[in-house]
This record gives sequence, C-alpha cells and structure tokens, in this order.
Amino acid sequence: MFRSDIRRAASALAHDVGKYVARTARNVPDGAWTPELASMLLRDLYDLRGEHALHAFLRLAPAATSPLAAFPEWTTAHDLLRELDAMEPALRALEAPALESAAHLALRVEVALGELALRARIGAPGRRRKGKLP
Amino acid sequence: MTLPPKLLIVDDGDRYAEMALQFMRGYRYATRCTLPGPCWTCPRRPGCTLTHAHDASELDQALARHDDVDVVLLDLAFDLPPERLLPSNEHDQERRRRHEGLAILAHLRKRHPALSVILMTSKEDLAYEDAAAALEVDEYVTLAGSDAFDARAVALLVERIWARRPRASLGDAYEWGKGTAMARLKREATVLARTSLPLLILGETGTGKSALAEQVIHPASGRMGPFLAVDLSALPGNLVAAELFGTVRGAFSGALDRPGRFEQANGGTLFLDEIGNLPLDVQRLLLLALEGGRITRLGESLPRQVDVRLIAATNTALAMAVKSGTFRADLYARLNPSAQLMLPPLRERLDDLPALMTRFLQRAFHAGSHRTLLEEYAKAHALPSGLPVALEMGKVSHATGALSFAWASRLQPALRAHPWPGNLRELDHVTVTTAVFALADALQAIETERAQTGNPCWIPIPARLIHELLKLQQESAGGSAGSGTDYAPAATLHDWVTGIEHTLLASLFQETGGDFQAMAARILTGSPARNARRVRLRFNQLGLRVRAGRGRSK
Repeated sequence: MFRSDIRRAASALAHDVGKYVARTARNVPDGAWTPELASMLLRDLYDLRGEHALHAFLRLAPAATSPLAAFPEWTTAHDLLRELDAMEPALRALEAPALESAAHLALRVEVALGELALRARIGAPGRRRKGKLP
Repeated sequence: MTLPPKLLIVDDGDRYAEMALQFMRGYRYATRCTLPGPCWTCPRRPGCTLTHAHDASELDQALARHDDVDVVLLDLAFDLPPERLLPSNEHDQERRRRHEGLAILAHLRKRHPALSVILMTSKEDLAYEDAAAALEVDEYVTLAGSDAFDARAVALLVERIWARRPRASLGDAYEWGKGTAMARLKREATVLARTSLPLLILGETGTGKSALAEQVIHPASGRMGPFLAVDLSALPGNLVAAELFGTVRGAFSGALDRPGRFEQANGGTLFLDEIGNLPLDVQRLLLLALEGGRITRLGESLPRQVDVRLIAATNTALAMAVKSGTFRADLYARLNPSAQLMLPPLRERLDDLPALMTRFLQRAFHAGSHRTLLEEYAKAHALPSGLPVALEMGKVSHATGALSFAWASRLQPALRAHPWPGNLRELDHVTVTTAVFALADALQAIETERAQTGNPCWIPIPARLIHELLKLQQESAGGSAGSGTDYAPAATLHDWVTGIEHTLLASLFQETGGDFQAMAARILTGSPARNARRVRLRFNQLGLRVRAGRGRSK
C-alpha cells in the first residue's frame, strides 16, 4: 500500500468514524441528557450508517490487513470503541452515569482518530513541511 | 426587526440537520416542507426527511422556494446511488462519492455565485489535493474544519459570515430607474428617512407609494419595530378609529380588548394610505397622536405612549381638501407637507420600462403558482430547474443562463405611447399577464406536440395580446362609458387583476359576437378548439354570462 493510500484511509477513518461518533457528545453539556439526546448518542455509537461504530472502524482499517493497525492511536481508538460497544445495554437503559461516561469516551475516540490521521499525513512522501505542525 | 440568518442544510444523511435543529435553534431554516413553524415544534418531525436537501436536485428545489437563504451548510461526502450524484467524468466511484459536496458547490455557484457556504469538513478530510485547490478560489466558502459537529463552533462561523455580509444599501429592493426625478427622490428619501418627523408621499395611484415606504424609508430609518400599512380607503368610516387606536371591552357593542395599529407598530413605522379618506373625527385623534405620541383606545380614559413613525400617502391634492374643509388644516401642517415626496407617474419615466418589467417578472416568477408553471415548462424542455427569469426587449441573447421572455422591438413604441393611467400596477399586470399567457401557450404547444422551433430558453410574447391589453386599457382610461374599468384601487391586487380580465373578455365577447373560437384566436396561438374551451372556461369562472353578453352585443 502506498503512503498516499494510508493517508486517505486514515482521513476516511477520522471522517467516517471519529467525527460522527462524537457528534452528540461534544454538544451536550454535562448532566443535561434527555431521552432525545440519549437517542442521538445511541445512533452515533451503534447506528453509524447502519452499523456499530466499532464495526465501521474495523471495516475501514482491519486489524489484520491495515497498515494503520501498527499505529498506537489505532490501538487506542480500537480499545475505546470496544469499551463503548460493551456499554450498549446500559446506554439503552438510559443510565445517566453510563451516558456521561460514553460521551467522554466518544470524544476520546475522535481525538485518537484525529491524531492517527495527522500521523499518517506527516509520514506521507512528497509533502513539504512548512513551519511547525500543530 | 432584523431576522436571524436562514440556513439550508445539504447532507445525504440527517446528522447535520438533527444537530442543527437540536442545538442551533436561534436560526431560521430553509426546509422543503410547507408547514409553518420551526421543525422542533412539529409533530411530524420524527422520521421527516423534508428538514433539509439530500442531493443537488433537492438543493435546487429548496432554493427555488426560499430566495432568502443566507448560509448553506454543505456536507462533503454523499453516500448516494450514482444516479443521484451529479454527472461527472470521474470513474472512481469512491472518489466521486467522497467529493460530491464539491460538485454540488460548483453546481450551486452557477446560479448563486455569492451565496455563502460552510463546507462541513476540514482540509485534512480533503484527501485529494486538487479538490482542496478548487476551494481556494472561492471566497464565499468557509471550511468548518474539525468542528463540523460542534454546534457552537458552526454557529460562530454563521455569525461571522452574517456579520461581514454586505449591508443592503438604500432601497435595493426598489427599482429607482435612470430618470432625474427618481434620482432626486432617492436623495430626498435618504435624508427624510433618518428623521423622526411624519412624512407625506404623493403620487398617482399605482406609482409605488407603499413600496417606497416599506422598502426604502422604513429600512433606512433604523427603526427596529415592524412596518404596518393600513389602507384607509378600504376601511368603513365608523371602524377607522377602532382599527387605528384599538378598543377596550365594552367600548361599544361587541368590542373586545384589542390593540390598534398604532400600538402594533410601536417602535416601527405606520403607513396610512389614502389619508385623504380619513373621517374628520378621526383626524382629530390622529392629530393628538402625532403631537404627543399618545393614543387612547376607544372606551379607555388613560392614554398610552407609543413611538411610531407615521408615513401618510395620498393620490389626491390634500391642500385642496384643506380648502374645501374635508381635511383639517392643523393635521395637514403636522404631516410636514414642506418635505413631502412626490412619485412621478410611469408616463414620465418611460426609459425605466425594461428595468421595471424585468423586476415584475422576477418577482412574479420567483415562487408560487407562476413558478410552478415555469418549472413545468423547464421540465418539459429538459432544462435545469431553478432557472432565473429575464426579459429580452428587442434583442435576443442566448447566453444569459435564464428563461427569457422576449418582447419584439416593434412593441416598444406601443409601450411608450400608452398613457399608463394605472402606472406601475398596470405595467405589472400587463407584463405578468402576457408572460403567463405566453408560457401557458408554450406549454400547450408541447402537450399538443406542435412543432417547436428555436431556443426553449426564449419564450416569445405574442404581440397581439399586448396590443389587445393596451388598446382595451386605453379605451377604458379614455372614459368609455359603462366599460366598468377605471383604475380605482381594488381591495386586493387579485381583485384588480380579475377586474381587468373580466373587462377584456367581456369586450372581446361583444366584438366577436360571442364566438369563443374567434376570441381565442385573438389572444392565444395554438389549437382553436382547445383554446376556445379554455377561454370559455375562464369566461364562466369570471361570472360572465353568455346570454347577457350576446344580448348586449346585439
């Protein structure tokens, strides 16, 4: 796989999973969960274009074949998504502590996938670095 | 009052719409739905797909219905079947899907070059560098960056775009034309709008007095309250005081606690049309309101303070009314007659005819049933929807990217020679009526599979229809007894237009001895039998009677 392909795969991961997973989590103030907002969070985590966020993640960057799996950020994001997957029953029961906790985890997934995309971009060939990277 | 920006969301899914409707409720939204009220109060919201546009075609639909969209929130990737994506030479379907937002942006730019767009993505998501380069030449695009799903960040972007939008200059919505009289009027209106003094606008009927007050003076006054217009000629004399000043329960039989127009216009502008029709007893109350800024509801003893800018208009000579004793001299003096604005009649601004006609066409065809007719025509000719409307006077240009109503150059002398007693209102009627007839005729030609020649973007206006309309109106204005057509204002524009139509068909009926086929041949092209049926249908709809008409013609 070319580095440009790796870069695109990481961008797709950050866009298709990272951004969508954190959609509701980043907009709801602490402790302000309503059933409607909880339903939005559930859709972010378990109905990402018809599949769980974890499944979308593994489809775009499979552990066995994707070069991205070698990055530590991939592992971080994967662990967080597995943890979120395990919380599904508590979230569907609208348990307030679970909702709070899931929101924080979702934000961390977004950060991890953003860092993964950044790392993939920095390493890509043919790209001249200008000034300091963020 | 300044309305918040109107947003239009374009997204293949519903994530952005859901976020905006949940967390950004301070804005207006251009939806594809016809129900009133915001989506978040709508009982049909769960599962509703009309909250936003899902592809380029739905974007066109939404923009055709909402011409006041301020900012478009556009997604980048569209997970849609290929037939719903815009046509492209790109063979890589994944790339096409991921960058459909850019194709939609290019599509949008063809018709709305200066519409602000927030692309809900970051440069990092633009995995292909040529795509990112395309955005750098578009000054009206803002990237949401990594905060595309942060409602506060998106709202901040909207506010920034809103803050740097070009402020509408004085009377952008008003057609000033090129004449010196209108240029002077514009200067005077600019100055007088900024004062708080009452203002008097004079001009013949249909010259645009109400539009001047609403579209120019009120916005330029900087007043944050509403603009309210009251046509005093349409109110029964005994109800004028209650309408203007309000009532309290028990003031008279059936009276309720109800604010009047002065209270409703508090902080804004109250436009009183046909002030010459104001009864004398109400003139006294109006004088008190103008002098102290206080009004008293009927049946109430204590006055209420109001802050209203009064603009009065009339088509009669108020000074003469003062002399004849039907208008109070002190009220006339209070209306600041030394600073009155005088609108010239249309016959004195004939050079503005093309610009005014274009304005009327664009207004008539931007929405509603006329727009539906236009879209039907565009669809029949496989033209893109949402095309703007233009007017071609004498020359034909095929490169305007618009649907052009073409007026032959030989019609110009007839238009200039016509006295236009109904002024802008009459011109509006003639322009729009002829355009609608031409469009209906073109549509019928398609239905009957008559041979179509020429560019479908060019819709010729039948000269004979214009001659008929102008001839009839000139005869009416000349005082043909009993014709029933004077240009006295009707209660609504619809009534006024219907009256003209009524007279036209009645006159044709008499001239042709009740032969509907001959009537149809005078005003429509195409199948005589079908046209005759259409004319007869309209004749009946207008309440005209065949027997009575034939009787008169004999």
